[in-house]
Amino acid sequence: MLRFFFARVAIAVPTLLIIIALAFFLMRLAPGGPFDSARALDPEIAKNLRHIYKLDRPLLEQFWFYLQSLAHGDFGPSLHWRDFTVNQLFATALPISMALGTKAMLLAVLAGTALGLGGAMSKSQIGPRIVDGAALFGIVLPVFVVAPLLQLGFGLTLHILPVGGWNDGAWQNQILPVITLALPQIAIVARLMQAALRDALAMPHIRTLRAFGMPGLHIYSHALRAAFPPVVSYLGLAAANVLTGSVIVETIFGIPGMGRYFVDGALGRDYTLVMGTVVVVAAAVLLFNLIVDLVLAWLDPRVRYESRPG
Amino acid sequence: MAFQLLVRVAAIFFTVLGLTIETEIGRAGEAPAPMVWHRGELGDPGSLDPHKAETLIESNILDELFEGLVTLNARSEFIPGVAASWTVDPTGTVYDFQLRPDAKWSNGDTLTPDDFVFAFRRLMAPATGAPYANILYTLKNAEKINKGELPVEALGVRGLDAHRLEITLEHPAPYFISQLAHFTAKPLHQKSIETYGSDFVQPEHIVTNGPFMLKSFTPNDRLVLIKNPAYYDAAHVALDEEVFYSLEDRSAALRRFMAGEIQSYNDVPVEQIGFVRSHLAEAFKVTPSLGGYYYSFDTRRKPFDDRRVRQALSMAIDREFLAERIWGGTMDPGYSFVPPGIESYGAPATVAWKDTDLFEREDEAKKLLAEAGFGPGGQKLEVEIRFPNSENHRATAVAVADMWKALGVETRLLATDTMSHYAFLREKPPFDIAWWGWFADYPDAQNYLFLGQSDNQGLNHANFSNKTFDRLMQEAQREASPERRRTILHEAEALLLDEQPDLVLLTYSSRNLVSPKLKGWETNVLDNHPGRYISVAP
Repeated sequence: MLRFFFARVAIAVPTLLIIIALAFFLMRLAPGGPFDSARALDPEIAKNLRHIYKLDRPLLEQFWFYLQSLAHGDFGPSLHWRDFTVNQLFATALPISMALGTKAMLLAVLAGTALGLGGAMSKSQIGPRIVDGAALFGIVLPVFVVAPLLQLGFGLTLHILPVGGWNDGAWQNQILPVITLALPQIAIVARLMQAALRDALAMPHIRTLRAFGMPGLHIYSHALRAAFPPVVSYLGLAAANVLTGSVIVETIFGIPGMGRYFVDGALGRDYTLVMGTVVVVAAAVLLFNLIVDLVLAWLDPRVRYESRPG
Repeated sequence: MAFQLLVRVAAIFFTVLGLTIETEIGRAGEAPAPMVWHRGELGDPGSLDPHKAETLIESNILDELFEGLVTLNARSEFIPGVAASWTVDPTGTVYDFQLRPDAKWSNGDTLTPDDFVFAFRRLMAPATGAPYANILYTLKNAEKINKGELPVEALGVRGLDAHRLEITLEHPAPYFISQLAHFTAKPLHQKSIETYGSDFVQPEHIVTNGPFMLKSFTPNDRLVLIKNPAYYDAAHVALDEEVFYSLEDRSAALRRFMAGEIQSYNDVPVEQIGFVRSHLAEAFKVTPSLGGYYYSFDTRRKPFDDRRVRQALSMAIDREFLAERIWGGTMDPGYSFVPPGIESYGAPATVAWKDTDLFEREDEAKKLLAEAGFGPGGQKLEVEIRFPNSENHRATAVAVADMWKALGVETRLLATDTMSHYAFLREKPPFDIAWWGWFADYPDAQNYLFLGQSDNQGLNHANFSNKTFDRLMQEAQREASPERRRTILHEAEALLLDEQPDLVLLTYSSRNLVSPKLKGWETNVLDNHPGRYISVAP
């Protein structure tokens, strides 16, 4: 298992480096720069600013600087949020996005598994169809429709929850964003779970258990273990996405998370902020892939043996 | 036994409940709830350092934190700020300011003329990299210092004694007093900047002299200001707190306003104007503001170097349609280069055909195009409009293209993201027609008309070059008499409108949602609403 772990890490590091290099140079191809605005700066002043932020150095030299500071865990100063470093911005935003994301993913796993299990256990044809239909609805309904509807319903009509704002993480302010983040994930998990369970229930070892007259609970616990791998594979990537923040959910609910920095950074040509978000998201994706691999290997020993060299 | 236990638990429960109720009543009796203005804004400040600020959002917050020699009241009129009074010498270039003896910093330090000297020198020092330094190039030697040709000590600002500040200008500038209310002209607390460097803006370090102090700031969440007890007029400041929320999503902001979570917001989603007008009529405030919405022609290139082509294209546009139908009545038709509403300038000059019927204008436009060699029997005129990508800019461009179709002109539209558009304008590659907008930094006609000066490399998007116009602008610059200066500027504007290097489509209005609970909030051309005059009804 340890060897398996190190083999995966050995691939992750160069992957991250390639992503950083691509993002760094691609971003500089975009027209405009961080100091462009409605009021064009006096050329002399703009030159001064580029000098202060070392943007007047050759591009390769800037990249080298960036890698060096990155090696020290320093993302550099933000070019738009000029009173903050990117590290300071992330230090408040990342925990918020992760707190919301974790709750949303837990809700998605619990509700999705329950729905999928219910669908798969249903003897009739209607049960699975209801789950499929509801899931499809959850997948196709865009977040920018769900979020305003929830705000209108719970905030403006029923007056039981705030419409938006973070309010230092008060639980009332978290409910609607968590539901909005979780809904599409619940739908996908339910569908995956239902399909995987149905396949699992048709497997020979389950049939054997049934033939031995084992109780239902016992049979389903075995079936669940066999059904988990495809769901876990999906959850890894989904978690990497949800935990690093969603720009739409955060903008609509006014949440100071990571998601808004992706878009604000890119549109405002805040080079250091964009690079910071790229590094964080890439690292999250690589990390969750690694976790998924480890969980899969634990769930299904064949994964371990197949990936062993020789 | 079980019953006894139940009674005991119940007794404890009620005792605790009783205690909490009691303490809450007690607290309510001791101090009234703080008065807070929850204020929605379109975004966050990029910096709270007045020398790094650029946007209106930053300006709104900096006006609460810092007060310059001159400041604005609730109706956006200039009133004395830290300066109690001032005199000007006959040349109009030397100002003598008498500072308030009771002006203090939030930490209790006395505010001195040296705080202004320090701030102005820092503004002009090249190492500061202040993006808006050039607004105060009116100060003697400022431009040379900012470009590294002179030391900061050469700046025309000095303290005469403990309460007197002398400012010398490069040339007479009747608008100088209005410039002093700009965020570049705020005083700064020297000691805290020297101690903390660029971190002086952090809530735990920042020392301010305005009606409010900074309590906390979380980007994308909220910025909290609290009343500054050391402010000389603190007795008349009703608010205890002012909270700014960064709300980019206009629809979400509207819902939060309706839920009462914010008490004001400075925009509305244009697609929901109808709803707002019918459901929130009392709260919806639309009033003309000092902003222009323009299309520039690239006057360096054929056929846009031909005045007739520019006039024809301008004439054929139905501006009332754009203002009412595309912008839902939140813009006004633009017929002058300088938006109406600048007191020192009076009514601006307008295009000659302002009151001519649209059909007649169309015929006239066709005639002008024919003279220039376009239309039936001549060439087909094809133009391209560049604009930043947004719903309203696109709808406007589509409508304009349709109006030009009646002249036989074929129009292509090219939308890019906002930053690319601004970068394009800055780099000045050849183009046909490009959108831009302009809000004045200080309310003076010169701050619009200088956009047509041939030496204004960065902002003369039309690349307009006209010797008479340049001469008029220089004359106005040197003129010390406000009346004669106004006449010259009117002449310059008339010339600009006759030449039409920039086609004026619309003038902006501010559109605010303001809760009826907010008292002291007044509409004004600068759309500036200092918290000093606001109170919140329960």
